[in-house]
Formats: sequence, C-alpha cells, structure tokens
Amino acid sequence: MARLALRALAILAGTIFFASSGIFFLIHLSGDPTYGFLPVNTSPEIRESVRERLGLDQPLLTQYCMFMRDAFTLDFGYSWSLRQPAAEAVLRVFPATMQLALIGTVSAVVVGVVLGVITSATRSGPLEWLLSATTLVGLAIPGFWLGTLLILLFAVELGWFPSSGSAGWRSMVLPIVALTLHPASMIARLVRANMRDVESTMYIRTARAKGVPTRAVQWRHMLPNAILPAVAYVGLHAAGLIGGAIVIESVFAWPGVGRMALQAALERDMPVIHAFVVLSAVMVTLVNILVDLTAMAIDPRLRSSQVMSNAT
Amino acid sequence: MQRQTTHGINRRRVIQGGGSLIAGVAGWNVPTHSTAAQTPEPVRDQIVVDLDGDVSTFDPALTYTTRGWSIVHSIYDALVDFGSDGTIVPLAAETFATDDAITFEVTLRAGMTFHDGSPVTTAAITRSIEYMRASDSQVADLITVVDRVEEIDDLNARIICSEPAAWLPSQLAVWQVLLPEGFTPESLENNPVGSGPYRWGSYEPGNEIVLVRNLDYIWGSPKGQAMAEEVVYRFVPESATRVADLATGQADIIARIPIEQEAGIEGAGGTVIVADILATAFVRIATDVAPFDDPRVRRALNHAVDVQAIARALEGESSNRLASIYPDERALGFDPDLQPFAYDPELARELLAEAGYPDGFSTSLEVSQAPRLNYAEAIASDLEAVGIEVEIVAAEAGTFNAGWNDPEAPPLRYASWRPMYDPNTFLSLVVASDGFLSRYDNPEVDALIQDAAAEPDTEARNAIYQQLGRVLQEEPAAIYLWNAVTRYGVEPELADWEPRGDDYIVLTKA
Amino acid sequence: MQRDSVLRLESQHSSTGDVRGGSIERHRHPRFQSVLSLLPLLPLLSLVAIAVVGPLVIVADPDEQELLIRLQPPAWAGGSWDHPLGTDGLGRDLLARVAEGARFSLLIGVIAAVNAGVIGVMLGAFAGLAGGWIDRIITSLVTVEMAIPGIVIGIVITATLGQGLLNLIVILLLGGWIVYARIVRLQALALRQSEFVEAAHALGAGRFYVLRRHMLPNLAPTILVLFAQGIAAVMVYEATLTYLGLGLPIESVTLGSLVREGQQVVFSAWWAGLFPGLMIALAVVGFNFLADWIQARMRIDRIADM
Repeated sequence: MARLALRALAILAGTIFFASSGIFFLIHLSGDPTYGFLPVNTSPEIRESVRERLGLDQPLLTQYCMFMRDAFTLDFGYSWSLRQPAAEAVLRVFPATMQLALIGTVSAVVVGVVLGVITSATRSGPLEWLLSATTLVGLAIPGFWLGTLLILLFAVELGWFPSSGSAGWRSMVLPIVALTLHPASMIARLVRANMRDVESTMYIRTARAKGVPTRAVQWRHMLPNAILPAVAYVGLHAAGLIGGAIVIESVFAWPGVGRMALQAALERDMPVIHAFVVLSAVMVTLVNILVDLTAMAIDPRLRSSQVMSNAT
Repeated sequence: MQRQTTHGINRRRVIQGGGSLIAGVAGWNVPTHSTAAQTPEPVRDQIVVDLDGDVSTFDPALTYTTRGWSIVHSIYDALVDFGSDGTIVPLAAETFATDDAITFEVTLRAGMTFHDGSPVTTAAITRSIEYMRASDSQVADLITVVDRVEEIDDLNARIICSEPAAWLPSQLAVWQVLLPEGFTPESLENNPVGSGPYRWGSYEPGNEIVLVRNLDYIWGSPKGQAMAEEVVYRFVPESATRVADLATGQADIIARIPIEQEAGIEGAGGTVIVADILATAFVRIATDVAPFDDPRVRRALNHAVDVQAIARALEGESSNRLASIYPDERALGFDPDLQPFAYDPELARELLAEAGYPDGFSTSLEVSQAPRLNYAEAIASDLEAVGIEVEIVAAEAGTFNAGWNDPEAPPLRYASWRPMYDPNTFLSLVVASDGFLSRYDNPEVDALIQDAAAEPDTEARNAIYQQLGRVLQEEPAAIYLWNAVTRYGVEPELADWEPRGDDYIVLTKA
Repeated sequence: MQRDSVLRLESQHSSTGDVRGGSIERHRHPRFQSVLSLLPLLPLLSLVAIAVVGPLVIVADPDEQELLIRLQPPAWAGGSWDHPLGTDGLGRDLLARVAEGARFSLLIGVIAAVNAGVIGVMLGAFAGLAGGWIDRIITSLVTVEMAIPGIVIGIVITATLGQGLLNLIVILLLGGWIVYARIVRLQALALRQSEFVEAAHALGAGRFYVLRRHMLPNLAPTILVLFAQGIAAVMVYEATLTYLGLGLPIESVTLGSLVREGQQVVFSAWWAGLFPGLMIALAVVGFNFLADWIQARMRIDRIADM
C-alpha cells in the first residue's frame, strides 16, 4: 500500500511538473496572452495595466519560477477571465464530468464483460456475429456522431429521453450510452480473446473433467482470469475516458468541465487550464490506484509482483 | 427527410424600422413613450432559450459576449437604448439631451425602483460611471471622456465630458446600466440587482440561468414588457442539439443556427428568423505598405471580388454587398444612394495596370479560425483571377487580434464588426490614423471622424458620416463585403418575436 | 485502441515473468487458399481504391458550392445522378467530398501512425537498452502523458498554436507513440538481461546491433498489427478532434470533418453524415481485418484478436 501511494505521488509530481511547464511555455511563447482574454478594442494602456496586475510584465524566468512554486502548492491563482479562483471555477463543474465518466466506465466494464463472455461461449452463431458487428461499430463510430444519432432516434423520434440537459436520471441515459459503446466494445473483445486463451489452459480442462458445470466454469474459474485485461484497460484508458466525457457533454449540453476547458484554452486563461489539467491528472491517478487494488483483489499473484496497470 | 431548397423554407427576415433614421432625429431629445402605467398583457409561464455557450461573467464592465449582454440587459436598464430603427431612445432617462455634445442633461423617469425596492436616483448614474471607470476593461477607455457627473437632485443630473463626445449615448446604451446602492463586484456575479424587466433567479455554471419577471416593471418602458414569468437560458454548445431541443419542445428559442441547418428547423416544425444585426464584414487593407498605399490598387481589389455572389452563396439571401462600412439603414452614416463597387475584373486589371502592376502581385490574407475560411478562399480566388496571388494565413484568434496594427502582419485581414449603430468606435480604432487597430492614414478621414464626434446634431452627424462613406469609397480602407446576419429558430407561437438589432436576446415585447 | 493488444502481452509477461518475442512462422498455403486468404483485405482495398482512384474518376469538384441544390438526397432517394450520393448543406457533391476526405484521412492516418511508430519504437528501444536514468525519464514521460487526457493536450496545443496539419499530426502522434514505446521497451529490457545478449556481447556485438538484427525483426509483426489498428484509431480520433474544433482548418476535407458537417444537418439530411461515417467504419473494419490477416499469416504469439 505504501508503495502504491508513493508511486501515485511520484506520478502526480511528474505530471504536475511536465504539464505545468508545457502549459506555461505554450501560453507564453505563442504571443501576448492578454489578446486571448481581453476584447480586441481594449486600449494598449489598459492592456498594460492588466499585464502588470497579472505579473505578465515580469521576466519570463521569474514568472516561470513563481508559477512552478504555486503549481506544487496547488495554488492556481485567480482566473484571468473569470472573476473567481481558477480551482474554484473548475471544481464547480468538474464533478458533473466525473459523474459521467465514472458511470460510463462502470457500465462499459459490465456491458463489455457480459458481452465478451457471451460471445466467447457461443461460437460462430448468428448471435456472435451480431455482437462482433456491434463491437466493430462501437470502434468505428465517433462518440459525437453516435450521440447525435441517439438524440435523433430516442429524443426526437421516440421521445423517450430528453435531447439535452441534466435534469434527472432520464437525461443521463443517452450520454451514458454514447460514452459506453466504444470502451465496452474494446473490453468485450479483450475479454472474449482472453476467455478463449484461458479455456485451453490445464486447470480449466481439469475443472471440466471433474464435472464442474459449464456455466460455473465460465463465471467462477475463467472469468476472474479473463477480466484482468478489462480492469487494466480502465487503468490504461482512464485519461481517455475523461476525454470521451468531454466530447459527450458537449453534444448533450451536460454541464461539465469540457466547454470551460475549451473556452479557457481559446482565451489563454492559463490558471483555469492549469487547474483543469492538474485536476484531471489527479483523477486519472486515483482511478489507477483503484484499478491496481481491484486487480490485486482479483489476482493474488499481483500482490507480490509489480503493479500491472502502470508502465512497469 | 424531404428534399430541401432555399425556397419554401418557413422563415422570416427581420429588419426593423427601415429608412426612418432621419425621421427619428429628434430622437433622444424628446420622450417618445408615455410614462403612464399600462395593464400588463398576459404573459407565458416560461420561455426556454438555448444559447450557444455559457455566460462566464454578469459584470457589465467585463461582459463582451452577446450572451452576457443578453442577461445584462434583461436585468438592468441603461439610461438610453437603441430603438428598432437604430436611433437612441430614452430608457431609464425620461429625457436625455445635449446642445454641445459636452454636457448631457438627464432627467430620470420618476418612480422607478431597483429589484431590491430601493428607488432609482441619479446617484445610480454616478455609481455606474465610477465603477466602469475604475474597471480594468475596455469600458474604462470609453468612460475617460466623462469628466464628472453632477447630481442636481434625485431625478436630474448632468454628465459632463472633457471634450465633445456625440457618440457617448450609443456607448452608454451598451454598458452604462444603472447599478443599485451597495453593489459589489461579487454581488454583480452572484446576485445582480438592476431595474430592468427581469430579476435574477438562479445560475448553474455550464447549465443554465433562470431569470424571473420583474412585476414592478409596468411603466411604459420602450424596451417593452417581459414576455414570460420565467426565462431559462440554457447553454447548449452543439447546434444540432439545439435544433433537437426545438424539435422536442425542450427549447422555445434557439440561437446561432448555421445556414445549413435552416432546413432542419423547418423539419422540426419551427420557424427560422434571419436577423440583421448591424454587422459589417470586410477585408481590412493595410495602407502603410506598397502596393496598398495606392488607392487605385485598393479600388481594384474592391472591383475584383464578386462580393454579392459570395454573400449570397455563403451568408444567404439576406446579405448584400455594401458600399462602405455601414451595414444598413439603422446605422448612422448609411447612404442608400451610395452604390457599392461594381464587380468588374476588367476594370480591376486596368486600375492595377495604371498603378504600375499590370501583372498583379502577391500578398497575404489573414483570417482567424472562428469565421469560415470559405470566405477567405472565395475572396482569394477572385483576386487571383485578376493576377493578385493571395496566401491565406489562418491565425488563432489571440494571435489574429494581436496583429491589427502590426506592420509585419499580412496586409489583408478578414474581419467583421458589430453592432455598428454608431460607427465612431470602429472608425476611431480601425480607420483613424492614431487608432490602435489601424493601419490606415488619411488626414481628410481623420478630420471627418473628429468632426462627427464633436457634432451634437444627429442629422448633421449623419451627413458627416455619409461624407466619410464616400471618401472611404474613393480611398478604400477595406474590401467592403456584406451585412452579416444571425439565425434563430423559434417555436411557431413565437414566430412574430422581433430580435433586437444588436443580437441581445432580451425577451420583452412592446 | 492499439494499447490493448499490448495490454494482453504485458499482462502475460507480468503474470508469468516470462518474456517471449513473437515468433514468425509462415504457413504454406495451396494457391487457391492463398487467394481466399486475401479476402479479408477486401474492405481495406476498396477503401484505398476509393481514396486513390476516386478523385481521379469523379468529375465533380468537392469544393464547388451550389446553394440552390443544398441538401439534395442521393440519386436513388429522389436526387439526381449528377450527385449520386446527394449534396451537403452548401450544395457540394457528397461523393466527391467523401472520396477526397477518404484520401486525406488515410494520408493523415498513415503519416501519424508511421511517426508514432518510429518515435515509439526508438524511444522504447532506447529506454530499454540504455536503462538507468534515461529509462526513468522516458518511462515517466509515458506515465505523465497517460495521466493527461489526449483531448486536453489537443485543446491546449490548438488553442495556442492554431489549427493546422502539422499541429494535428503532433496531437495524433502524442496519442499514439506510447503503445510502441511500451512494448519495445519491455522487449529491450528483457534482452538486456538475457544470456543471449551477453553471449553476443562477448562476441563483440553491441546492444543496439542485437536489437536491430534480432529483436526488431521478431517484433515486426506485432508492430505491424499495432500499426494497422493505429491508422484506424487515428481516423476516428481525427473525427473527434475535428468535432471539438481541434482538427484541420475548415476548408480541409477529411472524413472526420464530413461526419461533423453531416452531424450538423442530421435533422434534414441523413446522407450527409451517413456516407462519410460508413467510410470510417470501412476503414476500421478494413484495418482490423488487416491486423487479423497479419496475425494469421505470421501467427503472432499472444496478440489480441482485434
């Protein structure tokens, strides 16, 4: 446990260092950032006074040192374009994104594992063909396009769910479906492939030979082995899953952090982008710890050996 | 899914007033509306508006998006407002007059209250001007011309400028909203209190703003009366989703609809309203570098581009080629008799030859990502047809805005400016030789801009700006393009809703 | 999506502690069977055909607008044969645009995947063979990048540097190199410790020589599979970036931008988004079949079936 925590801290520190430096230099080397967040008809005098107030008139190195010092104390400062602390602005909308991402991830794992097990059991039937086709579609269709098609079908034509917004569980259904299809397809394919590998191993054959019922073999003996890649997938793709949520919330007008991040980047509102990136990294790291713990719970061997989901 | 063409689409073009500028010249000297209380019309329970994004600030000194202004002008009233014909009309002021464009005499309407019940007095004028002046925003620049506010009594005051500023009312109409006693920068964001037709309801970041009808707003405001007990502004960035919201009845008005989606709105049973928003599109020509220092070359550019065809193809049938910078008859200085440049590539070639460029030349055209690059492409291909090779430079918005007066930046840049009720700001920033966005230098133009700013009589100002329009055609500062429009989708019951000329969605009705 | 093939490789390695390279074993096929075995390549070949031959054969200009025939349906659904797949919201010929988009998307996909592959393999090999602090830096780069959503990196790069082909490829590259680096590094790491290398070392062969001569050929099929899947993934990812306004400037035609445009008019013109969407699907299916085909031909040990 201590090792895990230390590792997570090291990753976080590295992330904050690289990401903060990257953001700082991208923002500062691409011209005067005040042109991002002040209107074009702001006079040079006002622009200069804003630059002074924000410390943008200091030498770049001084600014960088102060910026990094603040970064490591998680002090992101005041937003340049909103009248509130950057961290506060991001934290107000971040939970909605995480809600979407987490529910989406859990449903992707559940759906993916179930689909994977079913398809590995029923070989070459029409069902398998159908499910394989579905998973391929899941890989091929960009999330925003799927989201819009879902709106067209289930909101406009059938009227089952609202077309946008965040009022009640019904407005969550379509975004979750749109978010889930891609990762669920990936997981289904991983699980199916692993199930087939596991199937041919010695101990499963032994179990079968001993007369354990097929279904029990499948769910009790094979699945724990086959599920590991699905869990590891979540660890490897945690960042991608949050990224996917950002796209989906734009389609469904879900009040998450995506639009704010996009807007802040376009306005070069460095404190907000910074707070957002670091917060995302923290979330990804947390998810990875969870994933490692889950993996250890499933596979005792991992407890002694290295943590699997990280880049060894 | 039926076949759609531009014909037969259920839509309406809105352009209010129409040539009545001169008729309304007395404008802001005469109260045009009775102050007698009217019986309020029955209003809807709720109107839901889909905006294309969040409103990041409600502070009138910091807001600079039409989304933000929509909220600000629903909650607050300014002293004056723009009438539907483009003239300045008194709003919170009963009269607003000047003889010399230096001293503006204001009489407030009696009996107005803020949403917190406190009376609207002349102290509110001082408060808002002081606040704007102290702010670190573009507004502070405009207010520096105001030397002081003299409060004569609760209802009478004088705004005194340090130099003639005939344009001041058109600026006050935008951001000088009346602020109540005891407001703070925080309260402006969290619980703004104004004297306008709607009061603050609630705000959920990234999701929606709710405003509720101000029941005390029953005086005969030229803004009209609230159209609903409650207005919900939702933030829906995806335009296809906004159309879906209209189709499912989740929204009653949807803003910013791309021209391609007009057909979708009709399919959804809605009405498209195409609104002229006093926006001028143009390609600014820097005249501080050869060959653009020669007016013949600049005229040649104007003749070379088939602006009307591009406008119709990309903006739709409501957009037309402009003769100068003024978008339509609501803009001060618009001259219906001034003809736009003719599309005449032959003439363009002749002018180029006369100027010493018979084989043309090569140059570059900068465009920010936000507007369609299609425009730049179409313009460039017309210019290439007369021998001017154009390299298109797509710049990110911040970089683009930093390059307005950079002599190293591409000499041509595609841009648009709005709203252009009063051209003073645009002219003094982009065209005047000392403007900080300008690369144009013409003493005659500078003098006319000065004259217009100092001219208290609206009719005379209009004449000066018309004169300026003719000079700007002789010695172009730009390739003058078209009047840009915006498209709303509305549910059928609201089909007669009249959007404001400045694109602020303030749901009131006279 | 490519990360997951590796995932299975790695989980295999970590749970058994046994690192094996892929082994190549070419099957011998009778002639007719080898023709049959080319069948799975059909989707990809047709995509390539559309992308390469399409713009040469189709006379319509993908950029020419005719507002009077905006959103004309496909020929069989009430349109005309002048525009077999119909027109888009600005009256442009959809068939020509789809062909143009396929070509451009394919090009972007290949360039991005090649770059990601080369950089990933080089860094992975370097990290694994050099070890020590070099390894630690590269590994932490990987870890850091995995902790930040790729979309976010795209947002920051595009907002500050603007839209453009180079920036798009950099964003796609950043999303793709990790997978190669991880797998090659593991192999190189194992190699470093193996007796085999010690022996080669004793014979005077350098590590990089061994890597180049013995390891990379062994890894080639794996990398090829990742590469095939990578191109498909890039094409989908490009569409997503375009949706967020992080793709190419608006005048460039890619399958992603076509789907984006189609999505905008989905309520009045199903065809505008359907056909480019189908092309992306064809690409994903095609490249995945290609990956399967490579695996089948070369029987790569322990690679996921997708």
